[in-house]
Amino acid sequence: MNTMLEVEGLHVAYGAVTALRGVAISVARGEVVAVIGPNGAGKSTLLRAIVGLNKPGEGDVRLNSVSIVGRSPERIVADGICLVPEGRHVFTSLSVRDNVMLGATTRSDGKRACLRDLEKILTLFPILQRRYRQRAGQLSGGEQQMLAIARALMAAPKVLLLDEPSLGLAPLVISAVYEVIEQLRLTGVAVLVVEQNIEMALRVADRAYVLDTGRILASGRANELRRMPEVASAYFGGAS
Amino acid sequence: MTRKAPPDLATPAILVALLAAIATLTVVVAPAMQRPVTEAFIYIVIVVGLQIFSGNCGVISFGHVAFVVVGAYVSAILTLPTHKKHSMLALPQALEQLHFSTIESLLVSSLAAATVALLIGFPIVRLRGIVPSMATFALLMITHTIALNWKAVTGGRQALVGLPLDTTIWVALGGAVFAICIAVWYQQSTRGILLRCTRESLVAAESIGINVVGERMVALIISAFVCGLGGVLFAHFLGTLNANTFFLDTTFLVLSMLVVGGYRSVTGAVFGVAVLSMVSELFRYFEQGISIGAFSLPSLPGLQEVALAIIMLAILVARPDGLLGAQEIGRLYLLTRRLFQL
Amino acid sequence: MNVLQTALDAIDLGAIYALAALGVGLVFSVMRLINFAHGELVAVAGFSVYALDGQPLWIRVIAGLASAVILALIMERVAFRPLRRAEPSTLLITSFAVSYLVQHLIIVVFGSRPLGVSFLQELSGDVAMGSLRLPRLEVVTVAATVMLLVGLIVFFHRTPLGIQMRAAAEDFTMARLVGIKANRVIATAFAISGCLAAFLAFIQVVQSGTVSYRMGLDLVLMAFVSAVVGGIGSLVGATLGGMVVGITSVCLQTFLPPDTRVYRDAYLFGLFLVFLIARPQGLIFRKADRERV
Repeated sequence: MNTMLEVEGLHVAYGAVTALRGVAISVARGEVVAVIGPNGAGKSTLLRAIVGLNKPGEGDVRLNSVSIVGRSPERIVADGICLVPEGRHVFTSLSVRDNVMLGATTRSDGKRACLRDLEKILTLFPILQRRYRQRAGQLSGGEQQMLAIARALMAAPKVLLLDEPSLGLAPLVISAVYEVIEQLRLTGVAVLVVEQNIEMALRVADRAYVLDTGRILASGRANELRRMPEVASAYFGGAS
Repeated sequence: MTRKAPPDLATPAILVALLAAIATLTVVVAPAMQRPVTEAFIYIVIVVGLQIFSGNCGVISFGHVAFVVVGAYVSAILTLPTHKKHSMLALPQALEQLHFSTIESLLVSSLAAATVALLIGFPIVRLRGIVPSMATFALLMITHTIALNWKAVTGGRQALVGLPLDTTIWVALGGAVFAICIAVWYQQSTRGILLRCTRESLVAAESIGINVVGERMVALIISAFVCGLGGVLFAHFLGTLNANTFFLDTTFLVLSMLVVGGYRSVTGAVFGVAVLSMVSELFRYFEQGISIGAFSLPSLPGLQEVALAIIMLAILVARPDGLLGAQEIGRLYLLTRRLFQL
Repeated sequence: MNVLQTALDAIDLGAIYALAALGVGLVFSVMRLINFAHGELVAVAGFSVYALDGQPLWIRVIAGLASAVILALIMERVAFRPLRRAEPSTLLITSFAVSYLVQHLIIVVFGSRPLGVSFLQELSGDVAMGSLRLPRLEVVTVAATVMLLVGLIVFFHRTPLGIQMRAAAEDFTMARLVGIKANRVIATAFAISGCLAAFLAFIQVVQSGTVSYRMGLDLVLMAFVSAVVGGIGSLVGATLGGMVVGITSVCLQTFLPPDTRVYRDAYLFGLFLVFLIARPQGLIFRKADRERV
């Protein structure tokens, strides 16, 4: 198995509050893995810990079998893990073009390779092509989400982390975003999607984990998980 | 029914006892040190006054020296003998005839400072983020410019001399005790607690109905009163007064004292004054040039301030919350007592 | 031609304050730090020019620029980087302490009295434009400021480093997540602010013919006021704020009755406070700067 990203025994605490306890997940090349769970489960904390914004108290994060725990976010991004954070966080005062090109900050392979990837990405996101020169602040929510993903893809990442890509978006837009996520699989990127929207996440994912109050409750193939009682109780608080 | 934590009486008690002990010791054992100790007590009044505002609402104020200036000048006008006022200033007849004793002028001058805060505080307390601190600078500059140029009332660039030297070590001690008690009382009052909520998060505090502007104004007025009091004490300690006596150097010194000890606690403020007064005294001694055996230090003006700034920076980098952080000495005392009772 | 003279004075002062505000605003935008010590960057550049009195012009200019930039980078590395995660209040006091330190270091080395220095004497005096006689220095200042501003605009919109800085100023964490090196962006901001400070020092040295430990103080205070008036966090705001404050100052100086003219600064700061009642967020306020719930 081509495991690209591996998290093992991760413990993250904010002061006295433990956000993650002994979390272990893995994502392989070309795989789409979902982490689902209710609000406050620790999903965002997990992604932030992987990319280096939170320092875990215990545990390991490995990229291609190399431990990256403790590295700065800039270094981890350069190593090949890109995070599309919750709320998109495009640079609203910069143009679409500048936003996308900033994604290439950590690349060292020269302008021509960047421009080639730019073309590929713009075919994936035709809407960005149309708005190329506009200020990112003028884009709609869905378009900004596309932009954020495009920006991340410009870095030619090995692992792409998506934090709640459907948050705040209209249903039609969510479908469009998830179509893009589907296509990412073909590029060989390992994709880790964190979602509250179980429906979409489990539809597009190969495998999934259920996270609740910092612990992995269940894991398995996406369609199996849909039927599992833990998933239901994690969301609707049924007797476990 | 609301229940608050039991009042912290240990903090003011301990601090007052310590200060009283120091005063007594100085008078009995080291009378030569009376002046530095008196000055330190006066700084306690000013710094604690500043702490009442900055510590509780989280806004660093560069303008509180303005209240010191107001207190000092109002007291000068009230307490100078008529003939001196006539020669140095150009006041209206009524003010010229006025003659208060220093004790009487304490209240009036401090109230004057508080009134200035009431009149001019509104734009400052409305601001958010780091901007109110910039606005307090405006306060300092306005006061300084007026003091420097209003020859009729302040003497302008000329110093006012002949103020009655009524600030003895005991008077200053009294001022410090008063300041500490007011600061602790306010800190533990409902208003003080509400204000500290705003320090943590303005938005959250507003959402539960705390009137941020109102609470800040209350703190500002009280702190201006105390700083004004400090100004009176200082004026009658120095005996002379001019517009540059209390300006940027004083602002820096006062802020250093506050931050070094920890601006969130009254104990921190007092501690900061103590530490920096001692350091200051030490450097004043060295600045005159001394020789230790074969090694002699030449006298270099400005070195004292350089050393003070370096110490400030070192402490800030090592402990950004100040040496004592937010702990009041009362709590530490109670904790220690509990520990030893086990 | 009094009106034109006054107008030029106003624009000249506005340009100076705009540059000062830019220097302060630049560092604030990437670090949320109000650098009190910016005035000392000006002073250090001024004293470098003084110390090399008699040397060829280009050496003095380079020395001025270099000393300000180096001091700025040292400040950043030694005093501000360790405190990057500290509260804004702590950063504020720290920069105040750095300012105090450098001022008194200058006093220790050079004394506290202003020292006379001759620099770019060609710029003093008037230049004839048609029937008008305008101070040469002011014309050069305004022209140079415009060029600097254009240069900065080009830098921020067309160069990779400039775009990275704008991204970092808007959303520092996201910038790191895109791979932008935090240290490099902040150091660049300080370096540029050092250059701007040096430029201000040159102007002041030519204008007053002296250097003193206080030479940056008044300027930096006006820089803060300008930055706040313009809208803290916005570079366009800083420039605009500088112009507004400069023009207001000259107007006060011109139109106040002569015996109240000494109170000009009190009026200026008073107007500042009144302005803050009406528009506390400054002239140019980006919705993104509002605290999000």
